Amino acid sequence: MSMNLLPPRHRLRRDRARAARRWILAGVSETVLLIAAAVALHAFASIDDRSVHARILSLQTQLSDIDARKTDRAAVISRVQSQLQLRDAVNAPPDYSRLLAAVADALADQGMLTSLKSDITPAPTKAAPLLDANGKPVKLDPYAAGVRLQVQLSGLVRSHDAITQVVDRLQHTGLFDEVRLIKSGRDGFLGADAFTFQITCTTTGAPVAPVGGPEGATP
Amino acid sequence: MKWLSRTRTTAIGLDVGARSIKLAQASITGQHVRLLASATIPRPPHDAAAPSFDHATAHLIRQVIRRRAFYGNLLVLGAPMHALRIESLELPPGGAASVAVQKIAGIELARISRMRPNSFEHAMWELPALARGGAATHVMGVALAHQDADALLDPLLDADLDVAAVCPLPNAINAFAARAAGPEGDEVVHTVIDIGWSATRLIIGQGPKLLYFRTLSDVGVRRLHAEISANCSGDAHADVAEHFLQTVGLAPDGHRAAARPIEAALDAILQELKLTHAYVGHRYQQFALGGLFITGGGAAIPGIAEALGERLGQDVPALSHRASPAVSQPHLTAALAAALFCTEAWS
Repeated sequence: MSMNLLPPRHRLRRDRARAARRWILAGVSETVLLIAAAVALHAFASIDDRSVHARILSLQTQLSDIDARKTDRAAVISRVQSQLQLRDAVNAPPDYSRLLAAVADALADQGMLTSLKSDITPAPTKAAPLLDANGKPVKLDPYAAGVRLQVQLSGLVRSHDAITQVVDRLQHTGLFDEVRLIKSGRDGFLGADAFTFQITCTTTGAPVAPVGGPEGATP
Repeated sequence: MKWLSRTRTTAIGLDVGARSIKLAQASITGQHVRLLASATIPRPPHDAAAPSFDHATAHLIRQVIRRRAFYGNLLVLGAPMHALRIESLELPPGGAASVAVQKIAGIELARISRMRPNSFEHAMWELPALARGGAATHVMGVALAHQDADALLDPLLDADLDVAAVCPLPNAINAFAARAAGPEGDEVVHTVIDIGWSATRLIIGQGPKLLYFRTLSDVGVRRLHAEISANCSGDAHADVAEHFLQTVGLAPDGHRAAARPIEAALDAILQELKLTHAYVGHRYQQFALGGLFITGGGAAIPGIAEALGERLGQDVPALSHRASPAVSQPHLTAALAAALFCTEAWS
């Protein structure tokens, strides 16, 4: 049994107030939902940004690793190429025709050559040896400082002055860095007086350039 | 399956009495009613039967609701009994559900109550068939003038209190008595004697349906208070009368001479009750007289229920205590009944 003696004026007023409360509640709910949706969207976007950023960082790290490996490989390739060039330089026979022609010019009919020896050795270096973290010397490529060609000439001339002239002429050929009279002496040859000599000519070539380096570094 | 019962919290019942304003809120679990919160706000002494209800009072009610752990601020206002017009109407055949009968009932109520149409709210319910009623529709209608309702509602609404309903207190108390009588009470008519400050009301119903309502204007606690005060000597006679009504009353070891006004009031009530029962018994011969309950502020006078029981030869329990043992204050019955009446109607 429902009996409500609430006058219509108050019912209307109450209904309006309830409707207003419902609208306010709906508005607040909608606002809260919109804010929640915006926050969720923002959070989702932030997560996406963070993942992309992390992916970029990962790729950058991978690229850095690749660059580092590439640098290592390039160094290895350069070293191998240098060694190959060096091997070619060492193994390639010097131009003995020029050498013999120069020696012949230096003798100039004043004597004769009894022996000629050539020897290719690593060029001596004046730099202090490199030490590693443990204080031990670092093992370097022996030909890194260059190649030294040493030619030993032995022969006979008629006079002692001729020995000096031969040394002088050899120095002026421009082929050698150093021409040194090692030994001289008196001897006989075919019943006449003769003077023996032993001369060492040394030339040093530049270090073998890596790939793309200057040409003609070999002796 | 008690644990499956759903617990509902009622709105706050508000009973604006002449001497105090009562607030009560309960929870209902199945048939069990538990008082959740209650408050009694005394009103200043006055002589008028219907004291003014101003904005300050409404704000005080709001403050009390906040302080006394009531749930929410949804109110059910018990329409004051003095402002209600309750009439028995004989209308053309068609039943109370007929729209035409309802319109005629409204017009009849306006005519009998001498109110302009549309200046009041009314409700009606069909009465049981009379022994010699013929084909007419017998209904009982209750009307409340907008002016009387507004006098209470405007201050309450201005105080931001949400008044969901205004319910007629006789109907609410009768429904509360039907709950107290139990299922077997539907076959009998029960009687509630509401001894208020300014008047005593006789409420007779069959189940939740109110059959009869009568106001005894010359019998009330105020008159008892006045008569006992007049018999007292000294300056503090009002306080003495108050103390006597609250603590001595008709107790067996009390002062018989001082309690004579109470016995006189009981005699008057019993005389009217006999007449009323004779009328109802003649009108509704199919129903036997059932339980009798006492309520209102007067029900708290010590010994009054026992004295009534002696005179009537039957037990007259306090309605509030019978309906819910937790409610031991009879003056809260109307507020609690209003809260339960509308809450059960809504559900």
